[in-house]
Parts: sequence; C-alpha cells; structure tokens
Amino acid sequence: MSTISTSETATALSLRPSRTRQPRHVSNFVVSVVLVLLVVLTLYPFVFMIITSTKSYSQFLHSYWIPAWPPHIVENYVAAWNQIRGYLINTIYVGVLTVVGFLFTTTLAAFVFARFRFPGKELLFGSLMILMMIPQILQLIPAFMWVRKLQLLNTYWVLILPYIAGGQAYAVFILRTFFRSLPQGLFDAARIDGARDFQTYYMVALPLSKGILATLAILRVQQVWNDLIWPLITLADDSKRTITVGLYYFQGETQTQYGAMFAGYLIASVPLFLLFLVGMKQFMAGVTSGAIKA
Amino acid sequence: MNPTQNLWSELRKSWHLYLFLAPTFAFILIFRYYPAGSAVFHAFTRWNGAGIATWVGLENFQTLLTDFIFVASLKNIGIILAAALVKVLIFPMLAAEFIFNLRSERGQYWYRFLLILPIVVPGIVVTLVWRFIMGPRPLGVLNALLELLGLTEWQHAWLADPKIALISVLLVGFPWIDAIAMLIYYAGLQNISGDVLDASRIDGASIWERVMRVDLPLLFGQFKLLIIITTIFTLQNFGGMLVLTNGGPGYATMVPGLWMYQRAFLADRFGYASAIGVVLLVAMLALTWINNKLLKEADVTY
Repeated sequence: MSTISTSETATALSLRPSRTRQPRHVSNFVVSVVLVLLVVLTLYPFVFMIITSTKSYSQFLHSYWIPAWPPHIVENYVAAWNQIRGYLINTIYVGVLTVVGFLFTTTLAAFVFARFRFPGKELLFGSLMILMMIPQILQLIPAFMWVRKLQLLNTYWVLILPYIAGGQAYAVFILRTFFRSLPQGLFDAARIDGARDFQTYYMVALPLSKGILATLAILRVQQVWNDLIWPLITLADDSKRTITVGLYYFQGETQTQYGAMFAGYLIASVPLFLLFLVGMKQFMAGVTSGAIKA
Repeated sequence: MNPTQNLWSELRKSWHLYLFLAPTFAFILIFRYYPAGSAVFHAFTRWNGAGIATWVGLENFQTLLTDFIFVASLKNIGIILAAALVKVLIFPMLAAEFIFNLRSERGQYWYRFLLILPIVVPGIVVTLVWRFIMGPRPLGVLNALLELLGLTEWQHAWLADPKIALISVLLVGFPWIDAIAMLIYYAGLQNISGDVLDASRIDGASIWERVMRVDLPLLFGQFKLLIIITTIFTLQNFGGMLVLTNGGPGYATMVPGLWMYQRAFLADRFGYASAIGVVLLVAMLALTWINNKLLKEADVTY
C-alpha cells in the first residue's frame, strides 16, 4: 500500500518532534457532541434509577422525570438494605472464597506449566486447554444432578467449587504466558539463595504478577456477581441466596415500592463499583495489554 | 538405564510438580469433565427428576426436530445472534474511534471511564432496569417518553405483545456500547503504529479515509475475537431472557438455552434437556470453526 512506501519519508520529513496524532480533519467539537450523546444514552437508565430511588410512590407518580422534594432517601435505602443485606453478605463471602481458590489453583498450575519440564506436560496442558471449547451450558443439567447427588444443594460450596472450576483453562493460559515472560535470572538468583520450587513460586512469581492477578480477580468476581441461573437452581433456601437471585425475587415482593426497589439495585452495584475504583487502572491496563485476548 | 527406569526416575524427580497441578485437575475432573461427559451420555437417555436414566438412542434428537417450540427458538436465536454481531461490530467500535480521535488525553480518559462505568452494575440489575423501561403504561419509561413527546400511537406493550416482543428484546441495551468490546477496540487502535497514522495524514487522507483504509483493516484481529466471543456468549446465555420475558409471550422470545432449562426444571425431562445442550455444543463448535476458517486468510499487519 502507498502508506507503507511513504511512511519512511513521513518520518524523515516530520519537523515536529514526532508526536503522532495531532491535527485532525473532523473538529473536536463534533466528536465531543457525539460522545456526550453516547454517554448520556448509555448512563441514562442508571441516572433514572438513582433519581427514582429517592422518591416515594406518590412522588414517582406525580413527578416522574425529575427529582422530588422532600427526598425519601433514608426510608427507601433502609428498606432496601434490610431486604438485600443477607444476599449481599452471601455474595461477598462466595466471591472472596472463589477468588482465593481460583487464584491459588490457577497460579500454581500455570507456574508449573510455564517453568518446568516433566513427563506428560503437553498431554496435561492440552487436556486443560480443550475445556475452552466446551461451553458451560452443555453441563448445566448434569452438573445440577451431580451436585444434588453430592448433597451440595443449599450450601455455599455448591457455588464456590464450580466457580473455582469454571475459568481454569483460560486463566492458566493467560498466567502461563505471563510467567514465561519473567526473566530466568530472577529464579536462578532465588535458587542460589536456597529457594525451592514452591518458594520461587510465592517469593518470585506471585509478587511480580499483582497486576494480572488483579485483572483476573476482577473478571472472576464480576462473573460471580452476574451469575443468575446456577444459584437460581441450586439454592432454594432464601438465607443462602446470592444477590442476583435475591434481586430477581425482590421485584416480585414489592409491588409499589419502586423507590426501595431501585435503591436495592443501587446498593447491589456498590461493591463492584468500589472494586473498580480500586482496580480500574489495573483493569484497563490488563485489557489493553491482552489479558482479555485469548 | 532402560526407558522405563528413565521415565520412573523423572516421575520421581518431579512428583511435587504433579502435586502443584493436582488442585486444578481435581476441580476440572469433578466439575467440568464429569458433567460434560454426563451431558453427552444422557442426551441419549430418558432421564427423570429422580435421576433414573433409560437408554433411548436418538429418540431425543428426533423429538427435537418435531418440537415446534424448539424450532421457533432456533429461529429466534438466529435473529438475536445476527443482531448481537451487528451491534458488537459497530457501536463499541464507533465509540472507540470517537474517543481515540479526541485531542485531549484527559478527555480520552474520562469518556472511556464513563462508557465503561456500567460494567459495575450487576447484569441482573441492567436487565431489570430495562424490563422496567420497556414496561407497560403509565410507568414504563419508554411509553412515558412517547407520551411526553405526544406520540401516544407509538406506545406499545413492548415485552408483552407477541408481534414486537422479539424486536423489543433486541432494543435492550441501546446504544449497545459494550464496555469490554470498546476497550478491546481502543487497545487495537492504540497499537496502530504512529508511522502509519502519520503517513496517512501526509498522504492527505481525510479522517474518513483513514478509518476505512487504515483503522478498520488493522482492527481485523479485534473483530475476529469479538465475533467468536459474542457468538459463544449469545448462544449460551439465557439468564437475561429468563428475567426479561421468560421466553414469552407464548414462545415469541424463546431461545434454546431457556427451553433446555424449562424442559429440565419445569417438565422433569432431563435427558431431553441434555440433548438440547448437545445441539448447542455442536452449533458452537461449528460456528467457531466457520469463523476461524472464514476469517483466517485476511490477517493484516502493515
């Protein structure tokens, strides 16, 4: 293409210290207007949710679009909190145990696959990777029958154990690539200092992979936080339910308490919001550097 | 030393490595391989809620062919998948292009942040909010908006009218800027070398020409990745539909995954449901294979 042949000339002729994207033909103004529009349309449902969460039922009926005075914030949020507190605690409990178990198992396996040679390595790695081809939906029905047989129904383990098993192939693949990229010298140095294999794992490999671990943890938590079907069929006991199932039924129980309903939706979004505030930079960098590209 | 002894000594030398691998393999054997194998086996059985299975050969698959709800669900998922692909190929890409073309770095950061923000809202909440938006008069947001604009004749029972329920489902999430997809496109744009962009500018290319001749071909990898991710996700994810319409009214928005779920848990036909799961598996493998085949050739680097 012509662009290739001119690229050297372009660099040679460039008088400015080359900062690449400067003058643009479309004005910044037009681009900004479109972007503002996209942001408004994307966020509007959530803005509506926030505004409505401050209203009583009659306020909602009479001033549908705009905030109403006096706001019923405390009333609505207390009502919502009392309803979903238990679900929220359950989800956090399940989420934390899942992430700990998930990161522990995947980092160990990835570390071994990345830095050692042993009989059967290719076979084992292949048999793990092939899981990426098998969709979870295939096993929904038998997995249910199976956990029922194992008498795990209505326990937290019925969520935690399959959730840990869930993203293994993908995470091991990403982590193996990362561990491979670490300089061998670091491991040699640790060995000379007398570190054994397991020690090089938690003293060298793990501390260097905080960023990628954060990205994988966030992705996993987000999946736990969003799963509906599995907890819906495995947890009949209301006291064990997670937030998605809780909200699914929450809708049915409160006929006219729209304020409290939307307040509940918002409260349910807070933990992930906090997680993202802490991890957003990591996460964006992780996605950008290829954690999401399989 | 003969080969067997050699292997034996190697195994002994690396026993601790197998120990490190044990947790991962224990998990996938118990919670991935076993249920997946069980699904394929039970697709050929009549399997009731008590867990008693009788081998029936291909009966379940034959029944599927004449199950008009299943056939309708295939048509629906075809439409939904086509729409999902169009959405993910266009809207997040446009958003990424717009942001990338902003001059100010801070502006780029903030627009990215704002468009990614919905990712913190649990999927169930997004679905419930959209169910509310498309709800009946007078409280449904879309109908209230049409009322406000004086377009009362456009008001509908969006999710309850069998004629338009499927279209309403496709409208959910407007303007369809999927956060992850946008980040993937944005990362792709950032990876385009500055030289190429410089060159296209010096050649006098307008921004439109640059997008068409440089950006789009160089985003090929991203397009391909998102096509595969979106296909797999759309075919198997039915939680949203369960909440939004439960496949109704009638079976106007029924999808195979939801039908599988209903057959198993409402009708106790676990073998039949497993057969639907196997059909979905085959469909996904076939579509992934076709994607790879079709999209293999044109890998582009400048």
